[in-house]
Amino acid sequence: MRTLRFDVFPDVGAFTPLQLKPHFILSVCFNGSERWSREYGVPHQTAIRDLQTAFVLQVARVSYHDRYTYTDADRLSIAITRQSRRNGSQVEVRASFETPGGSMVAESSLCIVPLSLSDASGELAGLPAPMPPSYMSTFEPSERLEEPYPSPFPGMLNQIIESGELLSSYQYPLFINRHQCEFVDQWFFVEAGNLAAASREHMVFEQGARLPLLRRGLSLPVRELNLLYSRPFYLFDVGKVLTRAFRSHEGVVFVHELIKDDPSELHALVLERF
Amino acid sequence: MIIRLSGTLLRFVDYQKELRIDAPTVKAGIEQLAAQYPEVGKALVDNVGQVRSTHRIFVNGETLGRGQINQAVSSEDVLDILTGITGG
Repeated sequence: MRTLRFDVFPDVGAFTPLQLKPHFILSVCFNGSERWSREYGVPHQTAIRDLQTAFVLQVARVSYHDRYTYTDADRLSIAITRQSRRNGSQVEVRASFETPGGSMVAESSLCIVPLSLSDASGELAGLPAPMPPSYMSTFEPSERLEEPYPSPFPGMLNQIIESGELLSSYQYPLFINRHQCEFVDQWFFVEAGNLAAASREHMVFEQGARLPLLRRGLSLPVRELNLLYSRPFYLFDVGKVLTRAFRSHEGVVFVHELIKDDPSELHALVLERF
Repeated sequence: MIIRLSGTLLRFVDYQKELRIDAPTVKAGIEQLAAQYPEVGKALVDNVGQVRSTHRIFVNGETLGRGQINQAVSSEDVLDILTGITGG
């Protein structure tokens, strides 16, 4: 399995007072997937143009390990791997973030699903389909796995709901602006984490005095973030974030459902552990 | 009928989220929409006149099946056209 390594120099904007922002980690992981493809596989633009194949995100995970804030180190070493899973119908991307001293700051993984693009569509509309043989041939045998991506969903959500104690619920309005979108006016995936975080912070702001335990959602660093994308949001979509806070034996967990209005459908699920 | 477009289709109609089309059926409404905005037509309809499988159509919130494109509609019916997935 081939590993692509490069350094990043996170600026102050990449941090909260407590840690690297999940947004930064997911962006570097996604960008690392593209860098890996340019080095060893097929660049995304080439896949779209020549193979009518594009990729969308289905699952994203971030787990934090050693404490790391802006003043701890000026650079991070990133290691990226990329593997085909489920006979070419998924791609798993893994990223690790280490300091020069060997401290593991965070790990991230993505499950990306290939799409077969509609031929005449300028909007890059497509349907899920396995990667074409010419794309698959760029993976080494050790990078082609039959097993599906080890998704934490729905098991992790069920475990939180069944074993946790519901502390409170909250609803936060959602509207998709263009700055949250990407090339085809579809939302940029890391925005799911930001929208969920906004709902959590408003919940803490409004309910923290009554339920002090909720304030851990601001006073502690996130330990783990898991995101599931069921359907895309687009420019001007209107909806809501339904947030529930649970007390578990490990701490406080926030469950966010991102729902589009009219027709009402679940588009994404975000789990944050503190 | 009122046709409501979402996301990636909006760019082809100058970012109008709703358009009022006077047509007796869903199929006729889509044809009129395509005549006014040819780029939407290319994105929505394939070369044999069928709505592409990458899009979903709802009439007053109810999913329209593949064989129901000739369904009659009134001037107040609402047609939502959604793109399934885009890969950019």
